[in-house]
Amino acid sequence: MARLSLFLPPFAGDYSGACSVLFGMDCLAVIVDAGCCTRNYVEYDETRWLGSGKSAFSAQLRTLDALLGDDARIVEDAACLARESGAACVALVGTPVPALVGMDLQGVAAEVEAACGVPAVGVSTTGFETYESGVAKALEALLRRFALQEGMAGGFGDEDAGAVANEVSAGCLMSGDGAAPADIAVAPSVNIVDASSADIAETSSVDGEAERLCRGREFLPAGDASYGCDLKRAETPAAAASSRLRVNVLGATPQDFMGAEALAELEDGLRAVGLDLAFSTASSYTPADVAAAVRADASIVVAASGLPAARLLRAECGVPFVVGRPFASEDFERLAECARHMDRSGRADCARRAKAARAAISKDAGFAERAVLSGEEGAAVPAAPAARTADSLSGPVAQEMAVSEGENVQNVRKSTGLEGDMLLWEHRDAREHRGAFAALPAGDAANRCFTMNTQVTAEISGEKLPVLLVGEQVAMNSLRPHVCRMLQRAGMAADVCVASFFAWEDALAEPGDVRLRSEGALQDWAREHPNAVYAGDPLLRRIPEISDAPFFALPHEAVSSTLFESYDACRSGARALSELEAFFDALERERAGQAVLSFRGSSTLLG
Amino acid sequence: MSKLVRFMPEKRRKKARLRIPESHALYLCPNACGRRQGIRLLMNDQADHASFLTFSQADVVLGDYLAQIEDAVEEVVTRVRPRVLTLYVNCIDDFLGTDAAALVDGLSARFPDVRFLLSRINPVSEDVAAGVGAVAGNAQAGLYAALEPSAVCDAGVNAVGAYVALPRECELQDALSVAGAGPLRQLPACETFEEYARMADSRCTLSLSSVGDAAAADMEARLGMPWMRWHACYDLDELERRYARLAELLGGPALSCTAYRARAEGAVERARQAVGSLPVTVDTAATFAPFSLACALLRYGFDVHAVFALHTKAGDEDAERELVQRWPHVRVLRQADCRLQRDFGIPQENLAVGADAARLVGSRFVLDMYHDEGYFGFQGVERLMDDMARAVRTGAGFHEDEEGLLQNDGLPDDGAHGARAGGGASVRASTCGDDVRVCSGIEEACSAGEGRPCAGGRPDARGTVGASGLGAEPGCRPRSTGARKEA
Repeated sequence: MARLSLFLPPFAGDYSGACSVLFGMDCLAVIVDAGCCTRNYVEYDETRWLGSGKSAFSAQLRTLDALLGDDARIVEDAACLARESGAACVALVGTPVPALVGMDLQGVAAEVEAACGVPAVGVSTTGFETYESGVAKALEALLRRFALQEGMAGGFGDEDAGAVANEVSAGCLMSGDGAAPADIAVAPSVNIVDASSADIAETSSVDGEAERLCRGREFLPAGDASYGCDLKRAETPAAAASSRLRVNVLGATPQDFMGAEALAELEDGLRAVGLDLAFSTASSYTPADVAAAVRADASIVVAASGLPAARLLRAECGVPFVVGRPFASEDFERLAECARHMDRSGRADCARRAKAARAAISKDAGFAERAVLSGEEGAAVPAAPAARTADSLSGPVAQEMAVSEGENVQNVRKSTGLEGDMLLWEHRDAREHRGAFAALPAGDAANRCFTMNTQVTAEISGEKLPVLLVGEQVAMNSLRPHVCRMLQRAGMAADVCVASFFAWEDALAEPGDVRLRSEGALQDWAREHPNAVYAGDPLLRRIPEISDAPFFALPHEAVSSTLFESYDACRSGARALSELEAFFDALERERAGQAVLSFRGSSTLLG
Repeated sequence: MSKLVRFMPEKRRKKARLRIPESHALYLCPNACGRRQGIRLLMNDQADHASFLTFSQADVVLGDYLAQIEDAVEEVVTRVRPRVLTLYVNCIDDFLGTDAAALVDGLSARFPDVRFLLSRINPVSEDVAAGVGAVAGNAQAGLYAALEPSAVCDAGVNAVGAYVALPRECELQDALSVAGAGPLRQLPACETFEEYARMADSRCTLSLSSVGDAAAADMEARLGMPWMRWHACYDLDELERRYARLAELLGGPALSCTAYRARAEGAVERARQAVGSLPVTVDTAATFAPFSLACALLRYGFDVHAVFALHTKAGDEDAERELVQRWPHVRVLRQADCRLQRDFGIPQENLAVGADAARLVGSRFVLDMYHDEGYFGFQGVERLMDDMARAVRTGAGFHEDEEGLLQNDGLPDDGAHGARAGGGASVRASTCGDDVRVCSGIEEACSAGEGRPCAGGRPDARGTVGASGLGAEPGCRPRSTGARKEA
């Protein structure tokens, strides 16, 4: 369904998200467009140009190229430039016209690679989707090219293994409209599993698989050890237990973390709590780092855009993941605690489940065509065959998963001592939460991991102030407990909900949360909640129903580009929390008649 | 030769965007395609004049988008009530084959109080469009498609092809006065729809750049208005010749150029002393006519080392030939030469006229002139020379910002370099040089956000020189029949 925007600009496109993922690598990014798409990314959706020497190239696609399917020129150009530049990788990134004419970018990438010998990937972005879809596609392309591609064939041991791998992965990807994928039943937002002796054995097999993956990397330039996995460094469980945890950081792009500084803060924060980074797109990385992703102890998903990659790594390599965006130092600590707990046992559990899922799928003679929704519900475009995802499984496999997830939650609460405190985010109201669970289908155990720490807002009574946090779902979810505590300290009874225009996971949502399909949906919500308080991108104030409401500005690059870049500098990480606390204090003083605040008026930018 | 084009950011530059007064734009496109327009409109404080209907892939494949357009138009018309509603479609529409005429006719019948236009932002069609810059030219032409034939023919003169108004102090106004012509009518200076509509009353049109030629040709074809090409020019002799031809076109006395020329020559001399033997580079960010500018500077005695012809426009070919023949030592660098960072063999101790050359070479002295904005006629030469001299004199203190972009320190408070009336340039030195920005030739179509009309009045883009171009018959043009409709 088309989306009419009268007040907000179109959001960062999927190819921008893809290019931002590739930015950290020595990658020749070629956007297959006529020119404007590249300009969209370069001028409005990338913030890290300082001293990088990076760039993006436009293929200068023209009508006859597209109509006649003449890819030869693009292949030749990209191969030529790849040779000249000495890039470690070539990426062909899709835009609307290639999507419309059905250009096979993966195929073109293969031709480029054959022509110049430089590893190449095709990222089938379309320009119709928003950034998080492109981030997911680029991460998948990188993982398949540098971490999974050769290994999968040996890993499964049958001739259809490659196809199976593709099917499984496709099922893990978010659908184009950002709807929660069907595998959510096995993809809890906080993937915490318990360890058992049986799991240890599985862990060993996982390491064995990782070894096979490494050995399968015959595409690597001869003698270039930097591309491959260092088998000597492959850790045994025992070794891992004594060393720092190595994690992947998935979903870290400037669309959600404004500028290199915010991304560096994220990485520094994780390192400071004892985590080593295996594969992270937040800063520079190499193909070897991508390859190392399969051997990470866990993945940390800092934005919803990283979820599909996390699922892929879990499904294929048993790398567990945890979801959350840290704002304060204690958030980093908790993330690290979760990741440590998952570590080996989590990996084993995931590996077991991944293996079970693959086994079940491979037994199925035929894979049903899956319609990938590229826009809104009901509008289906035939897509490549995709996997029957894990939630479509029934019987013992599904039961095993459900039991496992349920146990995991209990175990982590015991073992981490996090009980009674938020893990990554929390429910607003325990009673509402329980009510919501009553309506959930039996066996939807994944959601149980959200049952922690709901007492903060549960103690608040009386008429509640509607507070809507509008932004990226994981970020706003992670911000929510902080907001709840601030409101509690301010003595305000509030109903804190999350809303997002972007990738949406129902399993990560709480009752009252809103997936926004258009700005009209936000207008509707605002009309239903006339006294609401908002936190979100400043451009939201262009919406008449919100313009006069109490509003805390949290610039989101995917919405407002760098229009509020300087403003954002003081509103990232812990600084956002202190500013937010001051905001709510001021708001409460106004409500108590002790101060008069004016939320009216707008800057020139806001028109 | 590889056609890949390297892009580097230039978001600090507040690029002007033309619009018909009291009009509203509705962009019909995939989400990502509208991104640049949306942010730029916000930067330019024009966001209230545009809306976006972003399609999903399914909408396009299943054809649902047509019905959705009608619904969206209804909502926009109800809310905004514009005099003109321009529907912008982009590259994908070239492949969808939308019956644009039927769409516009249907909407016009449904909303009779609104004038509907359809414009295309379709750089993908550059290979099938006629002539270099035809896509951008057609984009400009679309801005004048709402002009209706007028029974009135006054002494007004239109100027098209620029994104900012000509500077008030330029001698063109004097030339028009001497010839008994005027006022000078320019879209960037129009504040009401009525002012815009009166452009149809004008006697003739000046096309200030290659992207204005199609608009001028269209107005000649539809409104019977002769036109004259007056692309960027920094050569004093040529300027004198142009004023003489303008007088012929207007049918009045010619401007006496002596005083204006003397002032410009004085500025040339001052600049030459200030710049001395410092190497000079010129680029296509600074001017639509880099070869003409380079030739002029060489004739004035400047030591031009290179022309960075990264995105050339039509109309500068003769100057390019002259440069190659007369000054073969001057390097001409094109996109393919600049895709990868490398040593250009040009000393950093140079004066770069244009930000592209400054970034490529790492020039110490920079005159951030942009697309000739603010430089016209003798006044333009005088101003250019003064700015070059100032760039060298005030060499210290200029820097890249935190993103490696040149900061517009030399601009007035409005910071809207290139967007304010009269345009202008900032002057500074730079410590940069590791970035390359190469624009494509279709940038204008995109940045202006305007397109060509879909039906009726589609300009003949082949005629980059209009039938009545420089050789137009002087005097008042023959009038078209038919009165102007009330908008």
